[in-house]
Amino acid sequence: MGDSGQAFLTLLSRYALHDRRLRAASGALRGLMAGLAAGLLASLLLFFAPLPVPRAAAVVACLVFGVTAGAAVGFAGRADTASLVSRMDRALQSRCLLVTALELAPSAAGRVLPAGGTLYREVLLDEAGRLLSSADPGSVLPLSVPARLRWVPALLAGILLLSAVPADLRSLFARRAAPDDDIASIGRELEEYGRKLTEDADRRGLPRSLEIGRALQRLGQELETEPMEAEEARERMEDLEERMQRMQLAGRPGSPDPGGTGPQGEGQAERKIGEGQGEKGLEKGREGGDGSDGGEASEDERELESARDFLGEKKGTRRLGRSEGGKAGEGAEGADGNGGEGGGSGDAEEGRPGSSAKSSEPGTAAVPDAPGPPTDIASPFSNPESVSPELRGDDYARLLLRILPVPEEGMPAQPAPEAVYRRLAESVLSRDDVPLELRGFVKDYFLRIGVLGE
Amino acid sequence: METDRVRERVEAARETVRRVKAEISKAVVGHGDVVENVLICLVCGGHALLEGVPGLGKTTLIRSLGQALALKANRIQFTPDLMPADIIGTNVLIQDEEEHRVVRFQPGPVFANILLADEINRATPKTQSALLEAMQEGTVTVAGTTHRLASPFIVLATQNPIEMEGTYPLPEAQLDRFFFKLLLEYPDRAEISRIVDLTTRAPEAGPVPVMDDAGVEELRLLVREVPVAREVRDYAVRLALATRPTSPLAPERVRRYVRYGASPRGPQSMVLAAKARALFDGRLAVDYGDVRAVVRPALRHRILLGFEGEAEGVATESLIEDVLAAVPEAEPGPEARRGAAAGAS
Repeated sequence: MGDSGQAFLTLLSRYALHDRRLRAASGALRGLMAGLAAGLLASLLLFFAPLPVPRAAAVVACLVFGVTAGAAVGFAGRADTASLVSRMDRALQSRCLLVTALELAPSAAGRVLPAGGTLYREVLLDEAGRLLSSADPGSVLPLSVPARLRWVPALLAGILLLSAVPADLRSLFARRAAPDDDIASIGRELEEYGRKLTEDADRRGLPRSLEIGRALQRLGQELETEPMEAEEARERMEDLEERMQRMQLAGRPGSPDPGGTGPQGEGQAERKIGEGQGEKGLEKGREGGDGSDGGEASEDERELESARDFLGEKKGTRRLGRSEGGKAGEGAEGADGNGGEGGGSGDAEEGRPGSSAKSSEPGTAAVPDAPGPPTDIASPFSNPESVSPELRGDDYARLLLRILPVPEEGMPAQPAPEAVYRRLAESVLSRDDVPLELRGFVKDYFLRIGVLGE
Repeated sequence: METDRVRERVEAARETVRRVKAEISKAVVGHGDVVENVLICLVCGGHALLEGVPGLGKTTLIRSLGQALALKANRIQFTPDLMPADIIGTNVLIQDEEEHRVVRFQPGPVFANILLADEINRATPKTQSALLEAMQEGTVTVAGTTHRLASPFIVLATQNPIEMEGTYPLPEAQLDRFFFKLLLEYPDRAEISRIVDLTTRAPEAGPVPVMDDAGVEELRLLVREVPVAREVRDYAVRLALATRPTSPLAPERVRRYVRYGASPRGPQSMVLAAKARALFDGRLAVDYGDVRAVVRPALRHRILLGFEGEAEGVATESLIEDVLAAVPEAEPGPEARRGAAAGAS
């Protein structure tokens, strides 16, 4: 073999190495595609059949293995030199010069292929060598990615990313999608309530209620006008609620329970029965307060309590995009004579599927949780005019029954609701503030609805 | 250096061919591809059958070729009463200077470097066959004595495609011996104008010799040394195979209309002609384009139509186009073949 042949083969080996790298890259791409598919499959498997393997780790392992194996197979695969040289001929437009030179060049075994042309062999090999040395392997043999390898990995990666997005992140997106109109409507209600409270407190000289009324007005205006997410709106309402709670504590020395537990707390929760929405609820709450003891809590404090209940109710409304299944239990517990706060009572109503129409009505949501002070539970019977029509007679019973857990509706487990309400009924009957002439009536009522045993 | 000398020889051959073409173009207007193909036939040691209507310059072309090459050119006008002896020669009884009567061979017009067999299809098959040995072997045998023809020797036969009455179509055996069958087309407007100018004014100097028989022999040697890559050679073979109706490579129309496809002389002609084309172009390697360029003249007279093809007037040229479209240049490589085999299984 002459120098020309040796030089040609040496140059050709450079291109062959470049071609192996290209095949390795192509193999890596194919491996990436296979790894993505395998990762997606593994992710699905781990989703349905959880194993002690992190999903991310499984996906990464599939990708790494796929890319590595693809690259290794591509690089180590047997190269077809004739095909490679044909491609180079086409790329260089050398009109089969390289293919012919390859046949004229001695093979590794020293055998000359029978292409003839002994006269031109050296000349042709020399020309081929010069052509190869003047060209760049990268431009002669560029990396070409098949069309299917362009979009399939992108598609698989997109699916994989979507499946790997954390649940809380997705819920965040979902919350961001909460309609602003709902928050604005809550803001309008708060503003209206605050305005009424401000006017009433100003007229009656109730300083803390006046302050809270103004704060409610401001918050309502902010919710109505400023673009705000549900979570932020809820936080602001919670801030105001805490402020009201601090006010109550400051103005009620000796009362250790800021959440309204004990008799006072019961009174707060019970008040909600008489509350309607907006002005109606405010007036009814005031009437209830006037009609009760009146000596233990000042009017100012009652107004505060009513405002706090109203705020808690609005805070817990579904319009703020909050899933309240867990709160239902809280509401039930609050009703267990512990004087749960009004917000919790509202949550109990909100957490029940299928009751959204009713839940949007403030005041009615608190009915089932209230232990039933005489001024509220008895009032429908002693003074029917002060109770809304749907709270009378059978309607009231039906409304009370609505809080009973319905298993098929997917309610979270509650601790023996019948026992809870039995204790509730008994506690109501044993209270001193229930007029004696009405106790039989109340007992008959609970017997009729099946809550109380004989 | 040896490589430099080879390069010089190749360059000289290329330049000579270019000059021959230039000399012929002094007398022949247009027909550049026909001139090149005739030269290819010459350097490949083949013969050409030129087909065209009268007045297209067939005779002029051949005469100009003889002038440019400084070769002896003879012309035979074939007629129905032409006898074989009128072509190859005959033994005649003559009386020498010593008054002895002796039989001496009188060479016919075939003893030349370039033989123009004008309207070859007008002679009887017996007379046409007189050329068979001369074309194939380069010899003629008269009365048991074989006489070698001059070298180079090329037969350039012409035939008229329209006046078929009183003609004798060439038998397949003789057709197959023609390296190329060349079609002379009508010249275009500019060429006709130039022909008119050239032939209606005072005669100018015709072609001058630029190459002799030794030059032709040198070209023949150089052409045969041009290497052909295996896949290019296989492409020519596959093209020839695709003209056979029984071949799996044959396109549908070939299977339907063709009775016999190209003989092994077909790919021989294609490869050799492709080598000549590459050399004329100054290249030392034959590519697919060279093969494609010579497929038509090399195969058109080697495809025999069947009854259905004759009845429907199928043109052989269209069948060759089908073959070119059906046969890919590069055969699938081992990887592709493995993939195809796996897919088939």
